[in-house]
Amino acid sequence: MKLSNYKYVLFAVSGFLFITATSCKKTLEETPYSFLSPGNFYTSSANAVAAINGVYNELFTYDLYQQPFWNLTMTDDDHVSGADWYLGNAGAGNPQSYWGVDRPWAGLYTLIARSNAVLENVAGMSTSVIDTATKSRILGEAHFFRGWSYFHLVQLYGGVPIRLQSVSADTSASGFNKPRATVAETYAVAIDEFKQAENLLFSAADSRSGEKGRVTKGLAKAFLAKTYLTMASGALQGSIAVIGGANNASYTYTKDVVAGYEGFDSKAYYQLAKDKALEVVNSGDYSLYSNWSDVFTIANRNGKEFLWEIQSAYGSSFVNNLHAYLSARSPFGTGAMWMTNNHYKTYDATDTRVLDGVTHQYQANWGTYYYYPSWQAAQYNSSGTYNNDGKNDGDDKAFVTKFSYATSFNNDQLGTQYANNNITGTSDAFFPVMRYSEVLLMVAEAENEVNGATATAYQYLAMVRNRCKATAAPGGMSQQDMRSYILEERGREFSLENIRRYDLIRWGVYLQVMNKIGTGQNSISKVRLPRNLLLPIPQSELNSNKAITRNNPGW
Amino acid sequence: MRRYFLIPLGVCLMLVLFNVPLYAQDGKIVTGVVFDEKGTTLPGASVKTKDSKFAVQSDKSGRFAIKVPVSTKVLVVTFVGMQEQEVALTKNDLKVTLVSVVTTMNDVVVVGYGTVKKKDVTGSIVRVDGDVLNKTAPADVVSALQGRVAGVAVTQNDGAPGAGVSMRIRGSNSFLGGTEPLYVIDGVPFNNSASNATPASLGDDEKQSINPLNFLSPADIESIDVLKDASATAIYGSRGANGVVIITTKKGKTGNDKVDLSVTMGVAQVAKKLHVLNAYDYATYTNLAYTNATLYEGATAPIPFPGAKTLSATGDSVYTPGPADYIGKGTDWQDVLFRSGLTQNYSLNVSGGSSAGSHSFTFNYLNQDGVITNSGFRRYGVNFNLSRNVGKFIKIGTSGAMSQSITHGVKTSTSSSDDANAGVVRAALSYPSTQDRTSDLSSVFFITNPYIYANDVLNKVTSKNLFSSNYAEISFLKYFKFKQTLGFNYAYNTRDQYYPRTVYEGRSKQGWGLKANDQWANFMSESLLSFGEQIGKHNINAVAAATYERTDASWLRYDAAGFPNDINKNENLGAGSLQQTLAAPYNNRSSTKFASFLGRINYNYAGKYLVTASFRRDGASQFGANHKWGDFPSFSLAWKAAEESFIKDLNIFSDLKLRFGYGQVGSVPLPAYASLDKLTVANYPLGGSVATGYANDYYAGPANPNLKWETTRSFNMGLDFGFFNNRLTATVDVYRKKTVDLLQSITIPTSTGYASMYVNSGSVENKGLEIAIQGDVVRSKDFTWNTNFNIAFNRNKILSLGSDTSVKQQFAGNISTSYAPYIQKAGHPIGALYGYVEDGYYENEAAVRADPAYASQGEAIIKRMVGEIRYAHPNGGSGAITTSDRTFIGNVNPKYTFGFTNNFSYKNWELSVFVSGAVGNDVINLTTYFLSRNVGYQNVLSSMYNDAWTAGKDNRNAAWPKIEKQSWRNYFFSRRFIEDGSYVRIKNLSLGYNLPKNLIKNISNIRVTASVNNLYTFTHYSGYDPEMNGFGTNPAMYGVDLGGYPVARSFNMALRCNF
Repeated sequence: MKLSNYKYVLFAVSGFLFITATSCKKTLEETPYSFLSPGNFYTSSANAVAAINGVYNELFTYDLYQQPFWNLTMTDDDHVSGADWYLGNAGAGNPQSYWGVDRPWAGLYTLIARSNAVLENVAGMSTSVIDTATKSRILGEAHFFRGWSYFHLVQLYGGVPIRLQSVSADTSASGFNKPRATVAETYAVAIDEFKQAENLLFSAADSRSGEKGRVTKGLAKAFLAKTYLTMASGALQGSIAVIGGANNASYTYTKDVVAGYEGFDSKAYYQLAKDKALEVVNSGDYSLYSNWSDVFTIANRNGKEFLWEIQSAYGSSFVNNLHAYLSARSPFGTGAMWMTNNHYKTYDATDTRVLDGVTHQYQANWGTYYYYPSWQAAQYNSSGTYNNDGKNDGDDKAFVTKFSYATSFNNDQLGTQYANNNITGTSDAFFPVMRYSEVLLMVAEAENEVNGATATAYQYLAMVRNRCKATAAPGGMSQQDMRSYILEERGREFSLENIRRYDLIRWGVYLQVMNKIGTGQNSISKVRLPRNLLLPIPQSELNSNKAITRNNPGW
Repeated sequence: MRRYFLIPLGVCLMLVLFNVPLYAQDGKIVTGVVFDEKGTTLPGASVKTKDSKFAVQSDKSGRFAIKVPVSTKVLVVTFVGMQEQEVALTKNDLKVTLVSVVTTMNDVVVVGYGTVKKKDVTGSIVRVDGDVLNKTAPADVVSALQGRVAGVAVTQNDGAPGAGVSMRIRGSNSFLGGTEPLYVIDGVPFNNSASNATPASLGDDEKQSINPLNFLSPADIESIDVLKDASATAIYGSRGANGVVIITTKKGKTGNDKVDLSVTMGVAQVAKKLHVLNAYDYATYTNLAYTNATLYEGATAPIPFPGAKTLSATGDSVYTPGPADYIGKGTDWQDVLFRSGLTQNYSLNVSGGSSAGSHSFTFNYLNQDGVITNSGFRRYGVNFNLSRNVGKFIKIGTSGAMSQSITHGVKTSTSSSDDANAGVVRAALSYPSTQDRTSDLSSVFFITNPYIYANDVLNKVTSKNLFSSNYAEISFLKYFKFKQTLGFNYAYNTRDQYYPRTVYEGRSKQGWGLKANDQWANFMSESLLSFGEQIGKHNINAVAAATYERTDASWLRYDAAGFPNDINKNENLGAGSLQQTLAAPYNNRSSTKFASFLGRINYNYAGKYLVTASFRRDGASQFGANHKWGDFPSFSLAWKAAEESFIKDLNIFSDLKLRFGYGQVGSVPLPAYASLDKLTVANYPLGGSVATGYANDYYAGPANPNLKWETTRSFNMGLDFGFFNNRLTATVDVYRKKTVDLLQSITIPTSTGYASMYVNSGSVENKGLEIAIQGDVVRSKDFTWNTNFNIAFNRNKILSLGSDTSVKQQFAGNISTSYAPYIQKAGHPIGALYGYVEDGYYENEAAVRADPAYASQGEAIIKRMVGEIRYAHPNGGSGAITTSDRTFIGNVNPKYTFGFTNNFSYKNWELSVFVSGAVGNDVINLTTYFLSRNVGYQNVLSSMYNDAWTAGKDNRNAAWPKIEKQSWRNYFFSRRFIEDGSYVRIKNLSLGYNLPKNLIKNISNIRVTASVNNLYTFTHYSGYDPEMNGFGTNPAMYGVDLGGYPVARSFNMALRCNF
């Protein structure tokens, strides 16, 4: 071949390679058709809102409020009893045998991961596509969820890995393998996040706070207060009395300082808690319903007493089984969980929290309906409201009716016609996360720890007790008496609101209180080991996160 | 504009190309006739001078006349399939007799982007000719390859007509990705697994699949070349790791038009029936089950077949039959379900060619009734292959296949343990033999009457395919060719499904209907430049190419239930009162793009030393952003020792070639978008109404920009021998291939907000030995015998699960509810089985008490455990059986696979026997599992009655625990459900007769063949057939018999004539 021929060849080869190869880089980019890619998503205000809504979505899953998140903690305190099939696992001190044991970890971190994605993407959106207020609210909501998640993680698991970047954005070598932070570090993150949320969010009264059901400035303050309060009570040294044991007597325990809380200045944090809680009170955005029977009604959902509730929507897929599990009045004939008779007896006879908030099961010849306990039968028969023919199967169960107020559920007091939910067994019950009465009791608790059982402490306690027509708290209580009384009051006020176990833990008396009972009502074991103070970290995390070398003590 | 721009270019080219000087020279005319060995004249033989300057072809009667220069002394005569012959011009009217090529040494094989002579092959490539392929009258191309090529394991998913077939070349390379080879049809890649020929069905448990290559008619196949080792497949780069199967369709050959008509008629019957209890035994057995329930548990239910008067619910005294009343009565449900299925297969090919081009048209029609009532497969197809020489230097061509195939399915191969979803085969086994075919749902607990099941359910998949490959080839500058290929491939598959209210699936839903479809469109452009030159003893061939492909896929599924009646079936889904009862309408669309550059150089020196080197650079859109492009090199050497004089002097070898190859190839198991972050709908109710939300897809995992292909590096060493003038040839290949960067879904810390992620991690090794031997044992005028044997050994081993995971072992998916016996662990093969070990039965209560597992159990439990299986603690320990008591209990990989063909011919008769088999592989028999679970209201295998543990007998050989109606027995997964799946199958026996030439004047050949497929299978496997593969192409879950469609034995008569 002549040399000139090779030139042609070279020309031809380079020619066709060029034609085929033109803009190969672009050619190989993928175009999604049936799903959205984050890359092209954060382009409008509506999409940014959709992204933050996607964070809320995680609340309504079988990681969190569809069951495991509250099941693991609500079944595990001194005030509840229930069916063995329901309380036989976490309720008997064996959370690892409950199917959902790993779910809260997954759920809380999913909230964090989604919030991270929102913060990374929405922060950079220009004002031409999103107005400042909406952007501020969205960022505030994301910060709130991070704070709220870390606040719960640290209480349930101790110090945990801190992830404030999505795993795609975290290019550090330790992307997947994040070690556990200390308890103090985790609290510091929670506090910082709540503070940022507080600054960015709008108050509930402000229309810029968006639809009902979103988190608000007031809520961020309340959780900030609760965080301080939790740290303060955990670090406190002293004693506290708890009513319980087999005989329902008052037992005084020297409280344990919660592991990891040793360095916290209890008094200083109580001061912070009080100040922050008072900011909520002074905002005037919230107040109590004057009758207990109004609090959980459908009409008052997201009402003035609720800082935040987990929402649901009748007729959509966002319905739950709360009333079936937690209320007597369910299509299954009986709830799976109820308050113990011992706890029931700590309420005053006049307390509307039981008069209007608790029913009792009674097996009638023709079916199931409900009445007050036999020892109170005379009292309630006379009201004429309740049908009690005196037949008693000897199995009184105090069912809390908070979750019975649901659209799919025919809520006529004791007539047990479940017109709408025979098929599904689901309801649209809301789950209260923070009520104003908790803010009030936080003020009382913090005041008592900062200044003693002052008139102010009495005043805030009385607000909660007066509303439910309970007798006034005994006068002249010592600081320790007041501390104990408020703990019990929280137990009465927030029955089945996922508060009691957290209280026992933060007060460092969980083990003493539970083991004092031994075997509880309905033969539910209340015996607990030190390992029960924290939940086990999921095995999948331990397997895959090389920076965590051991599980929590005892697991 | 661009179009017109080409015109002047074209004109210029034509001017250059046609302006070739014509020779004008004196010469002489030589005439002659060409014969084959049998004295038949050969039309279309090529006759030319040695320098190829003068050439003609023999005419219809084999005669030729050629004008050659006076100086010419020798003519060269060639014909396809015959040895080239040089003829001295000693006399004028020549008689040339060509001899058939004994071996195919001079044939070319397709190596991808070109062909090489078989003798010059450096890698491991095996060619199967269409004629061989069609010996068994196969319905599909892939299963026709079974047993033909060493190291190529072809497994039918089950025996249903049109069912999916999976192919594994040299073992499994992947956990998730599939091990299907790349198919290349007339130069156009066809992605078998991506084409997704099986549209969604009602119910996830239905595993039956459709073969995406159904659109090809085997009768239209010229040849199939299987590229096995990486040095050969590296030219296909990131898609070569599982081997490459190059399918070439029939082209017209130079000569007069030929017509080839083939007609096959056949009848198929199920090859084996399972033994279940007849009506009398069933009634006796059921009574026993009830009696034992009373004996062991104090149950109070009366026996169902008392043979006495009993009080009915209304208080009447009625006679309830006893076992004796069923003697000689009852229904054999397998007889009801199975039938003789007729097959008709017609294929008409017209082909021909001249110096101007060639043409080939094939029309085919196949109608194959299944051996199960209401099942079958039909295909209508047209294939054509045209080429045209435009001037001397340009050639254009097209090949296309258009077809429609319709599969009428019945429900088989279901992984559901729920009897209501059992499918017809399981129903036929378990439906009580005391019932008759009119008995409805209410008679028996949760199984549908198999007769109704098979007849009333609609399940039809219709596939429409269009496959087109088009090219233009320009030869220029003497040594160069440029070929531009455009390929189009379109598939549209639809499923129509309806469960009427007469079957369980449709009963509670009041009729349940589905429309589903998927569409798949592929476009390919390939520009190929090739070069070939011989300079002295140096022979160089080279190709360079660039390709681009785009594949678009979409699918849709819609179902409804609650129909007022079953009349319209699924044709009016809007009439259903329940829309999307189980799943929302589902649709999806994806697009992938693929671009590559490749090159290859073949060099040989003096025909003795051969070197091939290739390189390919592939870019695929589904790769992660950091790995869009990958490089795939290969290198191979061959030494043709037989050409060396010192070997020639030995006078032993007629052929001796040593080959060595190394290559790096990949596989792209990633679906589109696998590397991207995905947002899914994540709504939340706010203020009473549902607000739109989006969030990262928890299940899809985080984006992984590092996601890439799985890389296989492989060494191959081969030896080709030929003895006795190549009447005996053998090929031996050894290989070792290591696949790294296996695609896996690994668990990642939940604290990332995701549970799992796709990564490339872990490695697996396959090594093996393949031997193929061919021999012309006898070759005489009237009698010939040739034999062909191949055997392949492959050993698969997981080397590591990867550094990204601290998990020491993991399990593939469930084969049925909660059973996941496939373990993946370093040091063990993909396909190792993990489970429990049995240790006899509890003979009495003392034996139960002695077992620590039952130490604290109550009396009732102790009592009922008598006659139950005792499980062992192979890893030590005692007490209750837990997951830690599992161990390795099986392996689904065969020790070796083989194929053995013998062809005999005596005068006009031909006899061919083809045997194939696999040895040493385990099969999970889930039919047995499903049938063993329910005792007392369903029929069972005879052994479950005859060989059950019985109190007071010698139970050392008992095969099953005691017969008792119960609901608590829990079989742990043990060898009980795993069987040796070794088999040797007489796959085909055929006897052919060629009508004598003197009987058929104008017809060149008429051949009549009678054949039997699946004549007999030697196996210990107790199910219908050991060759069942319920999970199809899932590489991690081979060898599960889900109670699939039984394999049929078919008897065929074929008539083939050429004229």
